[in-house]
Amino acid sequence: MSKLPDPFREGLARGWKTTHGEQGLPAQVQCDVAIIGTGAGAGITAELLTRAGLDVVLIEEGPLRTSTDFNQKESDAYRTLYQESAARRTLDGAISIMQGRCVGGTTVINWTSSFRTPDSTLRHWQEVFGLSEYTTESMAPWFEQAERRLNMTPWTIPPNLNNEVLRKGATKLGISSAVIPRNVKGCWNLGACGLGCPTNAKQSMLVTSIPAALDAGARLFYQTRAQKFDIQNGKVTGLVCVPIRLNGDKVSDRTMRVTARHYVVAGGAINSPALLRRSDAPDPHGLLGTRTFLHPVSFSAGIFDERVEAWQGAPQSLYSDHFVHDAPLQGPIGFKIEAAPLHPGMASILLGGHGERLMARFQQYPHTQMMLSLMRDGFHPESAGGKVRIHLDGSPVLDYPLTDYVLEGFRRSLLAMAEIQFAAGARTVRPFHEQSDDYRTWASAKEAIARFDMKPLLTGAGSAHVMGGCGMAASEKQGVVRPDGVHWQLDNLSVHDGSVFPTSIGANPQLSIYGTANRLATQLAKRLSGKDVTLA
Amino acid sequence: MVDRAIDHPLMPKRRWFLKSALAIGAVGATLGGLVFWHRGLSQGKFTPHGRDVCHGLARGILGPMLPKDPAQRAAALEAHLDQLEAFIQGTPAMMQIQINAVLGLLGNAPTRYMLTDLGRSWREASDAQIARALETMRLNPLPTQRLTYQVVRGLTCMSFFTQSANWPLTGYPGPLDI
Repeated sequence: MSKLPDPFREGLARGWKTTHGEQGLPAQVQCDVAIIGTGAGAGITAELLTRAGLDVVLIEEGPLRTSTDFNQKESDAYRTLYQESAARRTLDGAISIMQGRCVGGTTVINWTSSFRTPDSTLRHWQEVFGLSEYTTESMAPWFEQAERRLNMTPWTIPPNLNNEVLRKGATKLGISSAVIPRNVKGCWNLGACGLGCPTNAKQSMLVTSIPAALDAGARLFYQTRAQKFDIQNGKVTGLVCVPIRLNGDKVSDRTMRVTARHYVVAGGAINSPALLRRSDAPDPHGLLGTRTFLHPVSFSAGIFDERVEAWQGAPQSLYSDHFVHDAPLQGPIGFKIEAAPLHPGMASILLGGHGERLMARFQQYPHTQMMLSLMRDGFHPESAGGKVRIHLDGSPVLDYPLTDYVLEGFRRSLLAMAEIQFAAGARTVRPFHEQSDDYRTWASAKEAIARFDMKPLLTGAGSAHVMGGCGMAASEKQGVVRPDGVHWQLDNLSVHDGSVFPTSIGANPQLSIYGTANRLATQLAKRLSGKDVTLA
Repeated sequence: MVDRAIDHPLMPKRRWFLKSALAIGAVGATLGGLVFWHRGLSQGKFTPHGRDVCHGLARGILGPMLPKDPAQRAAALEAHLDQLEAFIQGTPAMMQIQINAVLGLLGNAPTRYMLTDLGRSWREASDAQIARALETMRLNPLPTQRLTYQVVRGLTCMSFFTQSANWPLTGYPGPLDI
């Protein structure tokens, strides 16, 4: 447990209006704007709308945990801060999905990497989805404001060895690499970003925009699930919420009905389209929940003579875009290469194996470097993403088939990562694939990877970036929401989160969500209040 | 005499459909029944069968990392099963249903044999037999078996290695005290 000052608890002591759903909800709530979610899109929206003088209510399914609670233990973090206790998977089980579920959303548990939406991605949106206003130039001011507000700057402290391996190997091979901007202030370099920052250095929504909104009078309901919108005659007339326990079980059949002038859905991809599907929201073109993207991730472990200790230090501080943004969108899938931190639970998954093999791999754990490649999905006909489906109990599941096209990208990325790791001096390299062994030379790894059966559940795959499902487009035939984030068929409902992206981003998406939400929420604030507001 | 085949050209197909539907229903009901015959969980807690399955899986997945002394090993396994039970209780209801189904399939002899080739119960099986059962699932041509392996391995590993008491086995020194 952190013993450092906890600004959120100080805010609570000052009288912030928060309600723990499990302890009882009012039957009725009225406000100007109801925001579903408290993550990147929701937080920015709440800050801007309250700044415009609007009465805002925030509804969060996850629990409230603050820096005092963050003890850097996976056992507590996964149970309290992640969707489905960090055990969320795609429908066929082939991809693990790490996604936040707490006040602050995924911003509380992400690894702080902050990239603007790449120009190649924005150009694709303009050409294919008619998003003519989403150019690099027109988006720049929105990104700049978010960067200022959240202190996003390139990491100037020397990277840990887990990251340095990427730069060393890439440099030897003549491959580009660069420093990652991070949203931190006074970072202790602990390496615990994924477990909740105990020092409040990470400028997540939990310590920035949500407190700003609460200071301005917003009301926060947590452990409160937005169950269903009431929709009549092309308008949302109310939102039905239920109190839930920590594991997501309903506390009782009692409900809270929220009525607002406007509703903003920002529960994150998968959850936002699921809420709209549960509500039978109009979907004349069958788009809702489709084109949900994951940046499917492959992994490669390199074993070094020196101790890497991949659990300590900034989790991500270097990257290589050599295999992504210079690659043609219509060619083989592009992938971005980064490092992955390794705490014991995460390591036990990514090391693979059982019995003697698992023990041998853990004996090398302090010397293990973990590299990852995230696939830029959604730009090719054979990479159409997944579809959000609904279980009988109303909970969502993502049906994301790993196509041969995407899996061939996995093979290419395993080759690229192995070559980089050997170039950096790895003693052995082990791609994350069930048919993999420990390879002592680049030649033997290359030959083996070429022979891998690239099938789901043999090829190790994860995701920490969920995007799409409520895609934005200039035509209602192509998108769930308009370019201003308002639903094409429901005039008093907007979507302000990563689910509006019509493709994946091709880079860690948090700044893309902040910048887009900044733009959408500033416009919405003007529409609802007549006031001009600015994030920073 | 009326040619029934002409009068009722679809009858053979209908019969075929009905027979197929009945056969599929029977197989489905049998598998479903087997899942619930020996359930893995009841009201969020392990049944004795569910605990046996997870005990065997933990021997196969974690065994070489556990203490060699029989009493200490038994205690470590029991502590792990308690942690695993708590971990499962923290998951959503739909996930508990899925875990229950997996433990049911692994706990009943016919489906256990289908999935793993393991002819003995998880308690009675030797370490070598359990290792072979895990290997059968891990590299199986059928995705169902591979998924079962991934799920049980993930549950076992995440509940075990996230516990600070088990960190000394891994070389992880634990976080900085702040």
